[in-house]
Amino acid sequence: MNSLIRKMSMVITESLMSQRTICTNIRFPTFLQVSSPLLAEPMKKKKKMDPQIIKAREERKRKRIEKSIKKLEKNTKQLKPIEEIDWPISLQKQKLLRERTETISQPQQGQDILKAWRSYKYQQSLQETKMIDRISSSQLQALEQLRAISEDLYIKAIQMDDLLLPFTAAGPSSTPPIIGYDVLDGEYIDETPKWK
Amino acid sequence: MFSFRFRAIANLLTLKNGVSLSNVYQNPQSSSRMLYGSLSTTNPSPKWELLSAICLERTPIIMPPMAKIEEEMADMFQKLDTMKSLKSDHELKQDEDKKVIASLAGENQDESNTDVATRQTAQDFEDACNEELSKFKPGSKITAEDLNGDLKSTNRKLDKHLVFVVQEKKEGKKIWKLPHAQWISGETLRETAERALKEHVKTPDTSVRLLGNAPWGVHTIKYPSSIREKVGFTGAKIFFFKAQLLSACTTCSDTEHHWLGRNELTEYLDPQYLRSVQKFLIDED
Repeated sequence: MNSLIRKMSMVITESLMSQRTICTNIRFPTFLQVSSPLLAEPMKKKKKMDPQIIKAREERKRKRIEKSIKKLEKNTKQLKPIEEIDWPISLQKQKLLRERTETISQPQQGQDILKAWRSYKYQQSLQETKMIDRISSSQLQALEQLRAISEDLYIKAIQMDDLLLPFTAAGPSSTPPIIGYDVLDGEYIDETPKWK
Repeated sequence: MFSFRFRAIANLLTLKNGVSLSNVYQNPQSSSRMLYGSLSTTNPSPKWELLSAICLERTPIIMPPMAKIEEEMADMFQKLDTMKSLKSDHELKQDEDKKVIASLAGENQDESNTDVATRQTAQDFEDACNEELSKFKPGSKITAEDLNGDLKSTNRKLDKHLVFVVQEKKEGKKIWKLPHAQWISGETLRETAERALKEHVKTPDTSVRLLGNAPWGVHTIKYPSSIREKVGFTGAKIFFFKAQLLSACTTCSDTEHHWLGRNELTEYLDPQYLRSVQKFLIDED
């Protein structure tokens, strides 16, 4: 049966090909040759987006990302409470490695030194209290005598000196400053603000 | 005679506390005359000349050396602290180097030579640091002025206070005292002290900080009765104001002056005057 149909179709096509005909059908029975493009749905026409809407969308995306960055940065700026701070983990692992094995030698000598230190410091504080008392009594005496002489000068003398406070004094160092010493710039992080 | 004088002294003391008789005007006869004079006139409110003096001090620049007990204490705590501490990275590296050297001592000689030569041990780094430190020479604590005893310079006795003292010629005698000026009506005592300072020290070049509006001490001078009637005052009161020298002072004063330490003050100032001054000066060993 099949071979008969095939023969029939061949005869028909040959006969058709001899005549002057244009036909999309090629094969029996529908004589319709389909190809993949014809099987698919035809494309929808792309609508042109409003450029302003596109820009607005991009802006919103950027803002969202920037907000999230700011939130993360805020987190890092906040300092940890001291109770939460711990050693770096690498050092924690090395603790056994870093322990020392020496012991105290002559604990009695240490006790003797501490005893002597206590009495030395006590004497020092006594002398300092005496000195402070002496100086303040000298000032009080002077003010008393000034008051006896002239009330007006006394009142002017007990006025607060605004230039004196806040008082700063550079304490003594272990060696005096070297005259003409060329001070080099130390290491520093350049924090000049950059403007676009 | 003796009992009369004794009663007179007791009466004077009840009138005023802090009376001091200046050495300059004292001789035994005049002093007894002074006491009799005050008793007979029974002056209720004596008139005093007001003077304001300035005590300019150069504060210490370097620390004094440690006492023996302080050194022992510092040593002890240093040892205790290192014993309780953990080893640093530098020390770990030193331990590693020791192990490497110990292990290489048993191995092939050729290998160990090149290895040891190329490794920069922790000891090398320490030596390099020590060398750099030895090249730095800090300023010397004892200056040239300390050795030659130049009393006009502030560059001596760097671990102690120095007080500015000027010379005054009175009745042919040369007296050392703190610079003072007479009070003029219309100004405060502090301004008088500043004026006294300006007369002796070139203030725009050297910076000075006056410590407060109130005087720190007072010294009373009683004139003998002969001068009293001439001048019209029973004596003079010198109010002391304290100041700190903030900048170095090499040629800041043209007048005859000295910068004296605490020991030298006892040599140069009058005993009574010195007592009033020492009351408000800070202790020193």
